[in-house]
Amino acid sequence: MAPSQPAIDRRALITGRIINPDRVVAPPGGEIASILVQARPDRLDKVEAAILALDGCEIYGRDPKGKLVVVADAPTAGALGAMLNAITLLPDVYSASLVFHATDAGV
Amino acid sequence: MTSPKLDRRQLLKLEAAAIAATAAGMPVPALAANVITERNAAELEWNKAPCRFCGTGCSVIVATKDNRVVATHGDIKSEVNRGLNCVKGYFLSKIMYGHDRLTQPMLRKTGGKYDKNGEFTPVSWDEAFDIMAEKFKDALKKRGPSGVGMFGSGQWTIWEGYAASKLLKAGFRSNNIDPNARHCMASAVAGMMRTFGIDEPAGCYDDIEATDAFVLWGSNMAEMHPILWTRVTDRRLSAPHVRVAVLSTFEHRSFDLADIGMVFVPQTDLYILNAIANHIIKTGRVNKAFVDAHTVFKRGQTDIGYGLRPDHPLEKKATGAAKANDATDMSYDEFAKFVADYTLEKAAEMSGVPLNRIRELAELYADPKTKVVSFWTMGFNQHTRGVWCNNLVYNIHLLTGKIATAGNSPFSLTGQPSACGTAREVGTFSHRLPADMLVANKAHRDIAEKIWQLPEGTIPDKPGYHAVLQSRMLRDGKLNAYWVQVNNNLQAGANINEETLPGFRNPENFIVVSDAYPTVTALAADLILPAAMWVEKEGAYGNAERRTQFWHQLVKAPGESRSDLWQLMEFSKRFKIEEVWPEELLAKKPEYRGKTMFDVLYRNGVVDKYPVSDIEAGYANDEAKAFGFYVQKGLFEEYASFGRGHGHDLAPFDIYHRERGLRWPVVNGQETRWRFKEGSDPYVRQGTNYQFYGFPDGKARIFALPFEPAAESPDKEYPFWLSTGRVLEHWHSGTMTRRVPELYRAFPEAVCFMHPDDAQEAKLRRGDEVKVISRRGFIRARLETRGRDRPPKGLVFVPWFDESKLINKVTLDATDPISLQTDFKKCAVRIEKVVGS
Repeated sequence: MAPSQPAIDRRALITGRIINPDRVVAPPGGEIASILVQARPDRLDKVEAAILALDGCEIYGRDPKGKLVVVADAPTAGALGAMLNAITLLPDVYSASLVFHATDAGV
Repeated sequence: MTSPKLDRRQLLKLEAAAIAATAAGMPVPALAANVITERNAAELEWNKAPCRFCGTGCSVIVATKDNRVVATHGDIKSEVNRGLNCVKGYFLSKIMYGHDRLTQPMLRKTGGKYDKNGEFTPVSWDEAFDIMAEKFKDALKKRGPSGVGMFGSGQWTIWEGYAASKLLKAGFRSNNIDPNARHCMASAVAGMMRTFGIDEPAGCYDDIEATDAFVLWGSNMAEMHPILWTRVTDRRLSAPHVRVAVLSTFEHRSFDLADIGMVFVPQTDLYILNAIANHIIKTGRVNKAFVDAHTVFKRGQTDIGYGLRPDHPLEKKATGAAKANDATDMSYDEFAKFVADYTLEKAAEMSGVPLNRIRELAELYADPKTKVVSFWTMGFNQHTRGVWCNNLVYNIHLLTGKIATAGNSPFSLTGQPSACGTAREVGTFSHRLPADMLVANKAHRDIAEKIWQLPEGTIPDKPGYHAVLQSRMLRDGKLNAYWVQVNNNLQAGANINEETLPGFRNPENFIVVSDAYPTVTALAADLILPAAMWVEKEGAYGNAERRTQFWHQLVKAPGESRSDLWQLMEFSKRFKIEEVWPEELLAKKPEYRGKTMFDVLYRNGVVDKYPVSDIEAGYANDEAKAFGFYVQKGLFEEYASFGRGHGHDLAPFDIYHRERGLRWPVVNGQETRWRFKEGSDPYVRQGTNYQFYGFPDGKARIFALPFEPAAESPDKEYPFWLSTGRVLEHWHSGTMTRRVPELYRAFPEAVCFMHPDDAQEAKLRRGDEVKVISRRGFIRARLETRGRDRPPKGLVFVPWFDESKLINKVTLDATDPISLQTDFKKCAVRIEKVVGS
């Protein structure tokens, strides 16, 4: 069956106020991912501490040239994505990329 | 063997860490090596597919289970992303499952009948195509081929773009087809064509690891091309001599890595580019041997206008608008004299960038020992002199001979996954045909008509309506039947208040939008067709480095949604060729009489040549099933015949399902990493060293082009520059990323970034609700004086992903007169506090 379609409010359309608050089907189970972080080599300790302060993050590897391997355990995919963005936007972080990602959905 | 003490979750973590360490070139813990093999036991299907977001072209490994994509991770076998994935790629597994996914065609109706002012009502595909065919036939009767049009996408798969182009140009005989890539990299295309006579970059991503310096000209790679940025960062961190220069009109995340950060006054990049060329000449660092052998000099037409409506005062006074793309010959000495006025001092004064930084930047290019990669995206391309910017950066690389060799690369990054593969290579532009050919060129039309088995004169000889012109023609009631696929132009196009929305709602027009979600554009249409997306169909994309990548259909599309390819082909069955072609044309091919457009375009003995049994075992293919032949293979092979032997060679279809993409030209099974260079490009004649074979003389063009002002600059009434752009969390118009609650919450709505001093002066505080007002319209947004984007005084930045704050009601639809690409980076606004906020 098709889901019910949102009613079109022409006023809302013209004024550009179309927001559907309920946007995604929650995925089943939890998420595990590894994140490769590149950061200023001389601030690596600070970056490491800031990452460890995030709920569900562990450090599994470190390269003094400015790399960290972070393993993140998050309840939902969305939470994991938010975590990745949070790391990316930390001071002195150049980039944060996901490497491995698994949903622990009874696999 | 695994340790019994570790639970399943712990194993997954070790596996995760091991794969990351491998990707980063760090040692792998011994245990993890065992874990990796254990995954094979998991009950998931794993397949490769290129990401459907940006133009980088990362390959991801897609896990499916029970007809659902459950996970994606970076493909370790991919040369592009080497196992890495950014946040957008990560959410690929989520974007298809929004609650509001469209699953049925929806038509505006009142009392059971189509009514432009009616409510959207679910209808069958038959009913949808009935009304659509009726409206297209009405438009054809009323205005001829110019009454119908299509707005497509750099997110179309290669065969979708090809099928659409054929439907419009050969079937309906209308060149009114353009991709949203017009907003994205049309200036890069025109820049390539003017300088090299052939489209797409000489180099590739391999340049990143080989270069000594990166220069970003109007590109925030840290947020927009994060995986490539990871490679740039890796190069910078592992080779300490490497320098990174970043130029922008406001400070952003990419500045964090910059050795030379430069914030310049909008439009003054034209000064800086010319000043660098002048510096190279003045300091005697021109690579004379290269310049003499491989380049010629051209004086470009000036005073070319701003691509506005012809009655606009700026257009009336532009003396060179009608011949914007013209150029005349000049000598090296004349060129040197032309740029002599552009001193580093003058560039510093005009741009506001400190002189020492401009000098450092110029030295990166001038120093013969420093290899340089120049990257650019929308800062150059969305520019009323965007083509010039492209030409001017090529000038610098050509004067120094820093091109087409490892580490020397002027490189235009693309925004969409197949801006190159579909929009550029297939030629879905209003002026183009496949393989860089042009509709206005008789010889090119002859080739296309021969391959398509059409009578001479089928393809119209004039360019059709381009993106911005389509909106204007809709508003003026001259384009009456209009089909939009895979884009959200009512949010993404400029000046929607005055042009696009009135055009969509013009009672004379019938607007069809194919999409997976109810976007602003879909909701303003008359008929919405539900589209299959990404791995719900077999597809092919071409990335920014000429890499063509394929994927298989891995899951079924929900409900009655169908791929754009199916929609295009099925719709073509509704027209007898007599209904779309005039009698004199038909008389040249009487055997087509009584056939449908589908028969002529797609059942032509070539497109339908490959049987369903050619499909790799184990994969679904809904289009092949529907039409009875391997549609994608037939379309691809017919399309590929345009470019093979002409510098655009693509490999045989089946190869791409096995490879992680190949960079064209692919000759004798070998891809090409650097074009135009002897030894790495098979098209370069022996003994020439370099050959820019896009032009018959084999030489690249160095252009003399001056500074000219922006279409609209701040004044007393509208004292701020407005620049628009993206943020890390959202891609495209937010239609997919905003359906992920955490991304939505992380950056829920667009804000207006402003310098704190400007805010203080205007008695505004962070968080205040303000109006961003231009001569065309306004939006309301919260003021942000901190955060990742830090504009200089006199400029505000507003992202455009937010459909509740349509900043394109404010922007100006000025375009580059050559590329016809909109400048979304420059217009004048004022900021007012919303009373009571």
